[in-house]
Amino acid sequence: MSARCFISSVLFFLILLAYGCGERDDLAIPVDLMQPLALGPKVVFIDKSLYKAYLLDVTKKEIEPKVTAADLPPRPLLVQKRNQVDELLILCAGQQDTEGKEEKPAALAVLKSDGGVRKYEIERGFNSLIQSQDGRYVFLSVQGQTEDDPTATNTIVLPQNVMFIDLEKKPSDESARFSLLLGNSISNVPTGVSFSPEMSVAGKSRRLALIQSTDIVWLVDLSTPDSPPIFIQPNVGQQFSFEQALFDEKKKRLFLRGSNTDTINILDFAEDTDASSATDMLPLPVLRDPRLVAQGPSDMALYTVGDRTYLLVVSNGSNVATIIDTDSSTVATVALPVVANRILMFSSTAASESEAPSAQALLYNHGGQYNVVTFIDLANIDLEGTERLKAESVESVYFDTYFDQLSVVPNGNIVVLINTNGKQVSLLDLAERNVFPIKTPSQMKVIADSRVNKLWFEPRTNDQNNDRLVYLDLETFSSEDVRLDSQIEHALLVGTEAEAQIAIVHPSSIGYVTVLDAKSPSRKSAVSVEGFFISHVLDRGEP
Amino acid sequence: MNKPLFIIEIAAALLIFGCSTGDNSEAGDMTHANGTPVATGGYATGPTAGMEGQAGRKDDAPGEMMDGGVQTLPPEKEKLVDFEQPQAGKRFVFVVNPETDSVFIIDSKNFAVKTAHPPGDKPTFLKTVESPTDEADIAIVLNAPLVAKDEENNAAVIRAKADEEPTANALRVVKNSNVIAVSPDGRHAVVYYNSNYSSASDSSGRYQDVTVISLSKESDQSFNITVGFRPSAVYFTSDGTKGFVVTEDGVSILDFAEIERSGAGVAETVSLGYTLSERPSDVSITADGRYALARLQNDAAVYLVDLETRSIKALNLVLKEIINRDSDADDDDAGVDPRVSQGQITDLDLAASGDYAVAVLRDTSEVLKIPVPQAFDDPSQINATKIDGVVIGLSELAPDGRHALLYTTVVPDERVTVLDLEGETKPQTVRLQKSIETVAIAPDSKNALLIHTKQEGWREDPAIDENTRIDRSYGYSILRLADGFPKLQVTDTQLGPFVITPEYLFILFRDDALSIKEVQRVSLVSLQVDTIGLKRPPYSIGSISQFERVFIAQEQAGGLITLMDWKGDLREDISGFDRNPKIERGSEK
Repeated sequence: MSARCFISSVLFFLILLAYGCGERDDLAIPVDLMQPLALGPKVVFIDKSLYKAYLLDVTKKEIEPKVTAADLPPRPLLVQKRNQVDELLILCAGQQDTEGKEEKPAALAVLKSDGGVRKYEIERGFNSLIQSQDGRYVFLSVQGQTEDDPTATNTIVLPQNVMFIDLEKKPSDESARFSLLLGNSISNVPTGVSFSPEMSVAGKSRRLALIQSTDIVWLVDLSTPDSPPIFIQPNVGQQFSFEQALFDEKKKRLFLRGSNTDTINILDFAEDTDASSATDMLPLPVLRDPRLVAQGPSDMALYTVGDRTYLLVVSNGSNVATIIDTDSSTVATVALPVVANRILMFSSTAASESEAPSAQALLYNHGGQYNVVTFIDLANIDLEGTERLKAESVESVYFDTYFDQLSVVPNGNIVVLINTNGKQVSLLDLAERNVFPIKTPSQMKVIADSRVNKLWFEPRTNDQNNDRLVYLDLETFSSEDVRLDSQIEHALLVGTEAEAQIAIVHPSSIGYVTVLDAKSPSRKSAVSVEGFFISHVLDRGEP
Repeated sequence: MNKPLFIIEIAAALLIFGCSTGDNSEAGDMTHANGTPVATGGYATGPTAGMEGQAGRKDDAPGEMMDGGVQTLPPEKEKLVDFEQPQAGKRFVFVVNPETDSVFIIDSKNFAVKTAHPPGDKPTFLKTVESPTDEADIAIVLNAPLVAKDEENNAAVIRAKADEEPTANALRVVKNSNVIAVSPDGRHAVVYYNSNYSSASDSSGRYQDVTVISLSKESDQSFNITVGFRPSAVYFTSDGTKGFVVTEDGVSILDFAEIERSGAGVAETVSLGYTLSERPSDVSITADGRYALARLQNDAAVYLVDLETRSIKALNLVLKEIINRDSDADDDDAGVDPRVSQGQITDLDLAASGDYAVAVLRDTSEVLKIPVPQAFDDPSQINATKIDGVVIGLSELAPDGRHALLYTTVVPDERVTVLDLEGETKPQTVRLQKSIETVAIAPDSKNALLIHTKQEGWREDPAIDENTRIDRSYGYSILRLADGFPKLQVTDTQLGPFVITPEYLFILFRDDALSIKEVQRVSLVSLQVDTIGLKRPPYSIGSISQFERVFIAQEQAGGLITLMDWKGDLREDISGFDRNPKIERGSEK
């Protein structure tokens, strides 16, 4: 290993001395770091106390032991990688006007990989952030309040208050964000949100958001933010506990699932009966007859066969899956060997060029203790009912050990089934339906890396011998490990597909990262950089 | 004439939870299934609750003292038939929701649910129709009495078919109707108001009107027909061409073909021959529609009315002789037989075939098999069987007519007698562990369900013995008719509605105070009992014949129905179908 140790112990103590004597803001050694994240070629550390983001570029051939610092709004609460875009979303609580401190508004900071930050001012009190799948929209809400919650200020926070931000618009654009007050009942407190894809409704292309609460949903047209939201209560007086919404943009339908009901509710925009369709306003949807499913529906997925759209539903309380023809009232049930509460949809490989890949589903149990998954060939399901269900459409695969989590290798045909309490994972080839059991030296977090077709196993920090980075090559199914010079705290996928790297963050107060080539990881080619936080301090001290 | 049988679907609603006992009133006859009211689906837990369907006409005063100071036994009490909602057709379960003016239709095959919105407000009473000519499941629904402002659109016929949206044809029927009776061929229904089935103090004011509904998938029609005063039951001929409405003025005859030709009109009403002071009971019609049979309360007389010739014949069953009605027809005391002290009829049942009737003379412990109509010309054809040493006041005929069960409800007699009506075996009196409250015989005539009475007192009292503890418990017995073998099952609470399938008997149990919510599955072969816990308090059970499933409706916001196969092995809970949606635009941002 060609490690580059930048700092000597003498210098380190000098810096510590300087830090102890000076103003904290001026001598910025990170003191309260959030979990680091990868942002393009960089590893980003965010200090909750100093309100700064530190970006370390790890993809250069000669890694400089130096971070770029970016100022953030006061009191960062949480950080997320923006979906589909190389940016980080950092929700900041802002700062109240108190003795010696200037009032600074709460804000959503968007950090780019070059260190640039744009800030969307928001109302105070939000502590939850959910983004749309494409990363365009952000939904902010208030979720609970703990004793150490930085938002616990003198500000009155209404939990019914929510805000949307369109990240494609500049912060200076007034229409970039809007807030809603969802009634005045505790049943209006939002519990989640779902974003639609682009849907053409009433002659206008729209993006919709469905805000969920215990027994009510609010449908918001993000494309016409001035129009009032639509209040939907599938059953007045009954708590539904909404959990999931799916959007069928072609048929203009919404499917709602709650944990407290054995029905799937269907909202239909196909018939634009509302007079408001003459305007840009989102018309009122029609609530179709609910579709009954097995007890305790826990997950659902849409798929198409030909021109028909179907909804597959699994349930916590029954070992059957339900298939609903969304174009009719036809419902079929599929018996499963055990309860399955999660669905993984995938497409089979076409047998020939003339054939299109067919919809397949893998049903499994998340959080339970089962050693079986079930494949359903959805294209061959006969919806006339279980009596006529083709046996070849359903196949169960059993494992030697139990698992309670499933992880998907993006763009791959492999899923990883994990026993979180044990030292074993199993790989399942979706195409061949073969199982590869793997024993790991300790309990590990599995990171799927589709760029190099590898699985990385991040050891838990309290494990012994956690200085070894274990990986599995999914092409050869060979397992290797690389011994590092220090314990592994976090493993981050950095770089691009062409220059794929994995950055290992080691526990250190002055910053310590090892970078490996993800295609051919080896101790020999690994590069370590240490002390980059102190480098930053020294830089700041220079004229 | 089709005397309604204990078919599976009807047995679904044989009893209501906690219903008390009724007198020997006409509507109290357990076999009047087709003319039975449909209840609102409420759950009754009190000892006298759920009696909306009880006929209001009281029979004799209980335990009256006769001349000479001899105390007579009170009148026998027969349980009441009642319907609970929801109800099942061949494939679909229909659930009404008066609050949302909806009827939910659940496909028992695949759990698909559809919603029908019959016209008018508060659909409340519902009865399914099995039509041999219509492949759709049909349900007739009536709007709530006293809610409908007029007779416009106060009823509907709903049709449900797989893969099609349900249809609801609006009809106008007699205001405040609360009874739906359906002909055996499923082509006609008779709808009327029966104050005995309503707890409301108001009434329609139309005590002599019924509506005949002509069911046709092309066009349903309704006709208002004037009948005798205060209709209380409806019978049909076995071919379904005629209906007979039992009223206080006699039997009103509904000729459906004539009604469809002529429209609204006045039904011909045939007097049963009794005088103003006489009170008929156990009125029934023979399967061919030719004769009406009735007994007089507190009397030994049975009348047979020829509905074609209007001739009336009467028998004194104590004396086994013909009564000459003409001789005292004008007397004020025509119905008072001076020889009444010699005995009186306590029950009269007409066999499903209509070939004979069975009468019980409790005072003399006699059971009479009366050929109809032959015995009314030749009383010697009456076959009398004396059951010594046992109090018998009531009879229950098996659907196949082979056996009758004889028992009493007025004394704590822990016995039941199995009578072979063909006389091949001697009457067999079976010792039970508890006295009987009511009896039902399975459709295959092989087993009977005996529901027992519960004596007052704390059953857990440590001072009492085992037998007393049993007496102080609820319970039922399954009795094998072939050999008279009984099996007792003691229960923690009273029996609720039950349904009989070919192999199993399903009985609901519910006691909110004791948190009892379960169904007991009784094998009719091994007589073994399994208890199946339910999620929520049950209130209704029924059978879906096409897919051999039992449904159990339970109280839960949004609705909850458990479907299980006839063996009870496979269970599916479905809920959330009963909803009251609200979609509206919120305030401006």
